[in-house]
Amino acid sequence: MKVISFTINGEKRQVIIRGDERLIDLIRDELKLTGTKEGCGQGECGACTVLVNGKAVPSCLTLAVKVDGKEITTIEGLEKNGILHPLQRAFIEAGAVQCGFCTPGMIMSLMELLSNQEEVTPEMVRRHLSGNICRCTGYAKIVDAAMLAHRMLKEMKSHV
Amino acid sequence: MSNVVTPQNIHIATEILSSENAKVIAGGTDLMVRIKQGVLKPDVIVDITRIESLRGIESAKDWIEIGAATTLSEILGNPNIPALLKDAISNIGSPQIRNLGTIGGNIVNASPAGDTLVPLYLYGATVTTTGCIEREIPIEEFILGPGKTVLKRGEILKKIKIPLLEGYNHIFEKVGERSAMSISIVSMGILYKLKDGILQDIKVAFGSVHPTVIRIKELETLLKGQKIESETLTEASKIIENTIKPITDIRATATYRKKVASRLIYKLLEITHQGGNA
Repeated sequence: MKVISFTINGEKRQVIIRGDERLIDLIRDELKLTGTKEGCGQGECGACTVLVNGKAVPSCLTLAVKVDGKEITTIEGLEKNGILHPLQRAFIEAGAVQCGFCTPGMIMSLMELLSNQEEVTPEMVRRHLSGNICRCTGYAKIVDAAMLAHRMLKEMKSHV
Repeated sequence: MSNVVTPQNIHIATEILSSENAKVIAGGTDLMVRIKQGVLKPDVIVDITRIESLRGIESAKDWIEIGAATTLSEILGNPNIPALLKDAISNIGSPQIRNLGTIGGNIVNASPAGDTLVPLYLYGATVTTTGCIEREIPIEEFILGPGKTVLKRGEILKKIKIPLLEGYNHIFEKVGERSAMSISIVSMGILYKLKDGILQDIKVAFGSVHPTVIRIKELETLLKGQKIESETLTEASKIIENTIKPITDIRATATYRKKVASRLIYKLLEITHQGGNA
């Protein structure tokens, strides 16, 4: 057993974990943040993607001890004071959600792209989502949603 | 259940590794799957990603040195990385996998399909291992076969040194089921210098078609000093077919691999239409 401390969605936490515990189990089973989904459990599908220090990683392949002292963001951390993040709003507006299982992973991957790039193209979106699998939508509306969110974020920036 | 330790320096890490049934973890993209499947049951997992001296990139005029625990994303973000290595790394996994996976992990796994290995063989990279003593070993001597390296118990891979070769263009081809997240069925890397339609120099290596990544010197000798013409490439193709020893596995048959690998060399024809830049 091991004690680790980290920040998750802006909140400081200290927990006792098993040495070989995976980050996804810590997030879902201990912290009860079930927005993050486990698909394949092998890093192939991207459903479990979360941000660790701003980097998108598959939480099923990440040892929980590795987040000691780090900052994690999950899908639950995007909404602020009841207002959804532009990416979440864009997914709803563009109709990019069908069964919804891949959505949290898609959005967390896109968070990394949209926070690090000034200009984003549909091609960049497709490349950045190459590790996220969706069985329902055919991806077109997901790419639309990403571009819509990109425009929304740019607009917000220009108003500041 | 495994115990996990996160040493802050190499000395402590190698000490633990020499005294216990321990396994090094860096990115964990491969290891975590094997641990979950129960294929690997180490008593101790040694997370080396917090050892500062194993991370980062240092470059000089003639070489670049990459710490073994540097992630593939960090490498892609460095402007001094040789183009062929960059090309090969951008084909590995997905952005998420590249954020976790390390170059050292890709090397130590010693997979015949390891995508960083083809460029490392072509550039003539050397690796430094550390334990009781430090050793600098050419990459092709470090890797012995599928999953096998010369690393001894208590030793870890420390860094990779890549000579920066000037004036070479490159080709990298990876054949897989789709462009992301696939393990190579066949891969080919070429470094070449072309002047007035003549190949001044050429180095060719293949992945996934032999117990290790393979550089075919006979092929290089044949092509060097030649124009790129289909007759020469037909001869080159035969050499490839006769040299490589692929296996049949879940991804492809040996016959298919031989066919694809020997035909890939015709990619050289494309550069004659592009004025030397592939």
